[in-house]
Amino acid sequence: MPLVSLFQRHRDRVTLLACVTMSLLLLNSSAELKFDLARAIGSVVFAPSDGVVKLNAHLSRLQGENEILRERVMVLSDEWNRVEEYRKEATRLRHLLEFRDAESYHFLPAELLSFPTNPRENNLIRVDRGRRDGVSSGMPVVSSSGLIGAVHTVHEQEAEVQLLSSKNFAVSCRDRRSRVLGVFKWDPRRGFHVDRVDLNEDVQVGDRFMTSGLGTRFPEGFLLGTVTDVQMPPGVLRKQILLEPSVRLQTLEDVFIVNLISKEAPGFPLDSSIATDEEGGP
Amino acid sequence: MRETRFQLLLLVLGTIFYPVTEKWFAPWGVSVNYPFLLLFWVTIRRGRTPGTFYGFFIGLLRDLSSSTELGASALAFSLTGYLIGGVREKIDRENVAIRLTLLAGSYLVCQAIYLMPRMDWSLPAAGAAWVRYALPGSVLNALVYLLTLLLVRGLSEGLALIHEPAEH
Repeated sequence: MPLVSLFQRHRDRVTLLACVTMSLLLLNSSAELKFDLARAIGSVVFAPSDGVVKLNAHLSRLQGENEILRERVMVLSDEWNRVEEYRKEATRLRHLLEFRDAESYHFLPAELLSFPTNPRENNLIRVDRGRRDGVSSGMPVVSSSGLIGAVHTVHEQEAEVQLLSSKNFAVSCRDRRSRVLGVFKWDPRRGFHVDRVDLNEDVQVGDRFMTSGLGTRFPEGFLLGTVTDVQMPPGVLRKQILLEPSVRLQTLEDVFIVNLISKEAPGFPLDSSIATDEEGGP
Repeated sequence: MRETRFQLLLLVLGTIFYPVTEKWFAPWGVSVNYPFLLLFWVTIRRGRTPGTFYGFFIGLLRDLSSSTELGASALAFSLTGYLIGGVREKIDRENVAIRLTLLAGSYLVCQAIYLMPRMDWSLPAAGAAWVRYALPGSVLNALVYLLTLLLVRGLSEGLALIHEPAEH
């Protein structure tokens, strides 16, 4: 009781003594204890302010990204305008030379419904577009990186797409640099490769192959892959060219069905009797 | 009780958000130390014992929220709370000039106590830091306190005029 009354009489001094003692104890405590204490209390008390700090940093980062993207949009917009001019010029020149008009294509976005766990074994994927969307068998399917395959079977609301990595799939292709023509194929032994390129043709590692537009199905200009190896073993008549596909089939996300191709586009329509056996699509 | 809760809330929020906001307004590297201003305000209103306790409490929070030596701010703020509370009873609290002088003086004392353990008890180093930061800081904090006081008074008088019944 006398202690309580003493405390009540000198409450201010007792409080000061207690606070100063605790402060000094904290000052002289070990670094580990300080760290543990700071972490324990800080994680509870400072969680709200941490959130604000992080939100602020996040917003700053987004703002920075936004500025970069805006600048990029401006650059691309400028480039697009110039490309548009070139396109018009090319169209005019094609008309002058009496070439057929290479009109653009209509891309129908589609979502993947299923994907083979091993695309090399089971080469069909299912997408959520079907007959009701105007999809028909044989239409090319692409992604932003290049050609993926072609529509194989069409149902009312969905379709099956045959991937490039199919044994019976072949596309007429062209080297973007040297304009050499070949046939893009896949087989389980060699993987992706280009066939029918003569030994004297100019194809080098790093060249990119795209669809040539020859044949009935695939429009010109969709990327197929990059040359990783060129071999000329003795006794063969053609180069053996291996490619890395431009589309990573394992990480496919958005696909587009090229569902409207101008009848005036190069190679369309092509009489089936003249279609080469290079076009082995479905 | 309600006032205590409100003051405690202000102190906690002020101290928690101080590290986030101290760089927003810091002329010549000297920031407005509003945990200290809040402590001053609370101690002038409440007295020595709450001032000491609140000083320790916000000092500890301040230590936890920044990279300062754990216990340094707690020691400085609790001693300053005690000092302000002690002087409070001997001065005319309504006199703004005296109050500002007390604020500036207690800020200098607080910084002196705080800087010593931070500078490994080296008097020259603590003295240099004190001259560099504490002296301009005391003027800046006194100015901010004065502006806040004028703003609050102006607002109170304005509100009183609005609510005062018109005389005919």
